[in-house]
Order: sequence, then structure tokens, then C-alpha cells
Amino acid sequence: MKRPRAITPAAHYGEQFHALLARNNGGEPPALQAQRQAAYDRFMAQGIPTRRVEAWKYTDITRLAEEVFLPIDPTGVAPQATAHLPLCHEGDERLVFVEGILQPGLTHRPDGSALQVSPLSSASESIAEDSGEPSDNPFVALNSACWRDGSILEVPPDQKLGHRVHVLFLHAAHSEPSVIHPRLRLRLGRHAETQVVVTYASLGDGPCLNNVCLEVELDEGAQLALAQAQILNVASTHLGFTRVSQRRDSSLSSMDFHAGSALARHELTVALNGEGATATLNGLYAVKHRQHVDCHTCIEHQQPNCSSRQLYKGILGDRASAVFDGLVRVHPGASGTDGEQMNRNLLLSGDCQANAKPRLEIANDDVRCTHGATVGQLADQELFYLESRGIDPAAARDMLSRGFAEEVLYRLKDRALHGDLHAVLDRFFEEDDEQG
Amino acid sequence: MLKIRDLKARVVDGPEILKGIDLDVNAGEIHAVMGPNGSGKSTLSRVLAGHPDYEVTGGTVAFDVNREPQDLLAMEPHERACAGVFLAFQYPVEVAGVSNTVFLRSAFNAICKAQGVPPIDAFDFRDLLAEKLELIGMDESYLERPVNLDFSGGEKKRNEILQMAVLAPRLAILDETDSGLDVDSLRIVSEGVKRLSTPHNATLMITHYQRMLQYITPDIVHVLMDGRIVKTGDHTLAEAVETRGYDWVKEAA
Repeated sequence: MKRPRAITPAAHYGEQFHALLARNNGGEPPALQAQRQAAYDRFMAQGIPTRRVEAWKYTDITRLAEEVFLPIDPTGVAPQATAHLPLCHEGDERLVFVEGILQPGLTHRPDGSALQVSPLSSASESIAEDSGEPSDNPFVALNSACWRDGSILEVPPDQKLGHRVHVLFLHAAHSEPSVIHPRLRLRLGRHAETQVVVTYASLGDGPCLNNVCLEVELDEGAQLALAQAQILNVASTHLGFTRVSQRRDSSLSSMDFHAGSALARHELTVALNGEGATATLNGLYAVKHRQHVDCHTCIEHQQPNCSSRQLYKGILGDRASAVFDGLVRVHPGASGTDGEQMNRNLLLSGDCQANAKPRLEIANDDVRCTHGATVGQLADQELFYLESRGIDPAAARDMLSRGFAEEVLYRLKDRALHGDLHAVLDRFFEEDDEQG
Repeated sequence: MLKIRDLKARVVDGPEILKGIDLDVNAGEIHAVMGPNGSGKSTLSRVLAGHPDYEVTGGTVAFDVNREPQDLLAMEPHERACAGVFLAFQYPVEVAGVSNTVFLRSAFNAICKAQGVPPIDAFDFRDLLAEKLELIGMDESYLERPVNLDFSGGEKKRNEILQMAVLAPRLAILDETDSGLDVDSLRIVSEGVKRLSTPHNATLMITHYQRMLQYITPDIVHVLMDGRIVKTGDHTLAEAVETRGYDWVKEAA
């Protein structure tokens, strides 16, 4: 008998959802309640995909059909803990969510900031997942059904924020498995400019299902530098979904960083909906032990003269595995499209595995698209070169591995973030050294 | 300082390339090893540096460390470097994502550590670099660039000599440093090598041409053919080879 393409989620999902509705107790507008119900029904109808579904061929999440992760309430994270929050810097505008709930005590809003923050529940429009093409990822539907404290961050037209915005989704629980459904809508008005860092981190050691949905809308000429840093503990599961929609002449620079979680999957979809829009997607994942990371990107070139640049690099150790699946789709009429896509993987052990699947779908003549992928080990010639200068073999391997990462990280204009991500990598390599 | 006796080597599992080399190098000397293509010149330089593609099939190499001869062939490549051996590569390797400063300081401190000297801090190292950069005629912007990446041929060769200037080896082996160099770079590199030569160190120049020898007068010249040194003389031997060709040496040998 053939394996099914999807598995029906266990009853506890329904119990959680109905508990959430009861808790809201009709406090939400009927339209939103109806949307949540519709999303939940879609989640149940889709079920949990098995590896028979092409998009999930290398990433097995079927255990999520049964495993129980409960939404929990935040227990106080003391404001003084802010000093130790990861990737934080003085002068940031900071929004801190613990177990998915916004923490005013940890949040920092500089006086006179042009950033407008409002709850998603008060939004008059429907949630974007329903306004656009629904995703075939059931966890997006689950997020739409279950998010709490969803937020809209908006930069008004012609405003350039002088500081960066840092949104932290923290998971503080110990031992018990918990779930959070972070939901953000990021909207930049015409010619607005800003930098946003979103961090997903664990303060405790309990397993967490971090099920994120991020919607980004860039109006004409808007410029966004967006970084997502996933540094959850290695007991956690991260399922991320980011959908970007860009209008004419807007530009996106994205950094997709993964060093945490037992299993992480991020789907990043960018729709270039206006002429002259540009998207630069950089990615770096560093995994070891038995960690698994899966980055799916999809760039929709809908309009003429848009460009996209993708460089995703991965460092794998021990028995870790990684997937890069990148699709560049050039629609009819999108002439003058300029697309580049590259995925490079560095294998530090003989037992790790990288699957690279760069894809092009072109329905047009007048385009320039390149793609490629490499999977390999450190080059002997480079190792010998470093050793011939007195650097011992272990240090040489370290230096070359960090250099491999730096080829992506140097693209970050934000030097503080650059340093932070290198510090995360330092820990990745240091633990290796300890194990010898 | 260096005593090579009956050294035989080959590419791993390949035919023998070095068929019995004898060579003595003393402190303060500049040697030139000349030879036609395929004579084993580059093999000699790589074997001395411990390149993993080659294996030694016979002979000995003794290198003085603290005036005591040590078995160079028993040392790992990084140990040879820490003991004072430096190879300027014929084809310097590009290292993406590692800046010249980080690379040089790591190498410098690795050698300090091996020699029991405290490491240098970033500020002092910058001063040291500034001084050496001037010697090689390179500007500071180059320091933050990744090692050899997108360097021109001349820049790569200059970078090798800069590394040599910073690491101050006792035995510098220059593998065809003069090939592929434009005239200006050749002059700068040659003058740099000349100025780095002291009574306490030695230089072994491996070369096909005698271009570099116009700037640096070697004390001793060896002609290497078919894996053996067939003739040794003073600097006039290099001129004779240049005018009369390698066939003349073969006949005379």
C-alpha cells in the first residue's frame, strides 16, 4: 500500500484551537473569528504532508501530526534580562514577545520614532494569507488560526528610520513542549526605508514549535533590509513562512540565518510585482549533530526589468542534513529579468548530507538567469597554503570554514549584526573543538 | 642550515621526479636553482615545504633549529613554517572570506607561540604591517581584502613576499616568483627579497629564467636536470645558462 500524502493531525490540535477561541470569548471581530475557523478547517483538510509530497521530500515533519506542543503563558522575564537578550544593541527600537505575547516591560520604543505598531486583530483588512493565494503549507493555515498578539509594523511614506527595529520572539519555557505562532506584518510606505532584525531564540531548554508567519509589503521605491536569525535551542522545531510582495522600484535585502533547532524549515517567497524591483536574498545555515535545516525560496518575476540575487551557503557537521530548494519563476511579459541563484554547501564530516535543488522556470526569451549549486569539503590546496604559514591543521580548517561563512556575512551592512552572527558561529565551531 | 642528501621524491603514486638531490645551504647565502621545465624544481620546493601531494622515497633533509640539525621531513607543514621555513608559492592560493590581516596575524602568532614568544596585539601588528607594506609597495586598502582573491598575478606574487617579510623566515624558498610578473612588479619584488636577506637567513630561489637574477646576485647557482643537480657554480653560471641554454649544461655535465 502506498503511503498517504498527508496525515490527519491528532485531536489535540482541535482542542487547542477551541481553547483559543473560548479564551478570546468573542472579543475578536466576527470576521476575524470566521477567518480563524476557515484557516483551521484548511489546516485539518490539508493535513501534515508526508515525504511523498515533493516539497517535503527531504524534510519529514510527520511526527508533528501526533506530538503535543501546548501554547503557554509567559512567566516573567525580568526587564534586567534585556541586557542579555541575544543580538540586542543600544539604540534599537525593540519589540519583545515571550511565548508569543508582547511584553511591554521588555519593549523599547524610542521617542518620536516614525514606526507605527498596531495589533493585527484591529486590522480592517483580512489577513493576507486569505487575500492572496493560500499556501500549500498547512502550518501557515495553523498560524492563521492560532496566532496571538499578531502585530503590524508600518513605516509611513518617505520616512527613513534612523535606528534599526529588532523584533524578538523568545521562548522561555523549560522542559514542557510549547508552541508559539509568531505573526508579523511589515509594511513600508512609498520610498520608506528601514532595517528590521527578527530573532527567534530560546531562553529555556524546553522544546518549542516555533511556527512563524511573516508578511512583508514594500510600496513603490521602499527599501528594506530584513534579517531573520533563528537561534532556537536544539530541542526545538522551527517552521517559518515569509511572504514578500514588492512594488515598483522597491528593494529588499534579506539575510536568512539558521544555527538553531533540531529541525528548521523556512519558506521565503518574494513576488516582484512592480517594474524595477530588486531582491537580494542571502542565507547562511550552520548545523551539526543531527540537526536538519530546509530553506525553500521562491522568486516570482512578474514584471519587466526586475532583478534577484540569491546566495545561500551552508556549513554542515556531524550527521546534520540540509536542503536548499530555490525556484526562480519568470512570468510571461517579465522581459529584462536578471536572476542569479547560488547555493554552496561545506561538509565538515563524511556523515552529513546536503540536498541542493536550484530551479528555473522561464516563460520568456529576453532574460538573463543563472543558477548553480555546490557541495564539497574544504580544499586541500587552501589547507596546505594556511599550514605552510604556520597555522596548525585544526586552526586552518576553522579559518577556512569561517571564511566560507564570511563570504555571505560580509554582505551585511549592519556591522553589529555581522559581529553577532559571527559570535553565534564561534560557538558553533568552539563546541566542535571541544569534542576534538 | 639546510643539508639535503640523496633526496628522492615523487607525486604520490607517480613516477619518481627527484632522483637524488644533494644541496647545502648556509646562513647568509642566496642560492639559485635553475632548470628546464619538468626538471623537478617545483617538486623540490614543495617537498621541502611538506606538500601533501608528494611523497619522499629516499634521502634526508636536515634543517638547523637552534643550531641543532632536525629531521625536516618528519615535521608537519605547519611545524616546518614555525621552525622558519617559508615557501613563496608559484601559484598563490585564493582564500575567500579570510582577510589578509586576519590571515597574517594568525600565522604570525602561530609562529610566536611555537617559538615561545608572546603573541602580538592588533595595534602593534598594524604598525608592523604598515612598515612591511611600504617595503613591497602595497597600500593599506589591500589588508582588508580576502587573501589573494581577485588579485592580479603581480599582486599575488607581491603578497607572497609581504608574507615573507612579516613572518621573517630563516629559509625562504621562492618558487618561480619571477614568472608571470610585469617589469615593475619584478623590480619591487626583487628589491624586497634583497632587502630581506640578512647574514642570519638564507634564500633559495627556484627559477626557470634568470629575470630575477638581474636584481639579485646569487652566491651559488645550481642547475637541476632530470631530478638531479648536474652543475653548481657562482653567479656566472646563471649567465652562461641564459646565453648558451640548458643543452650546453647537459653536454658539459
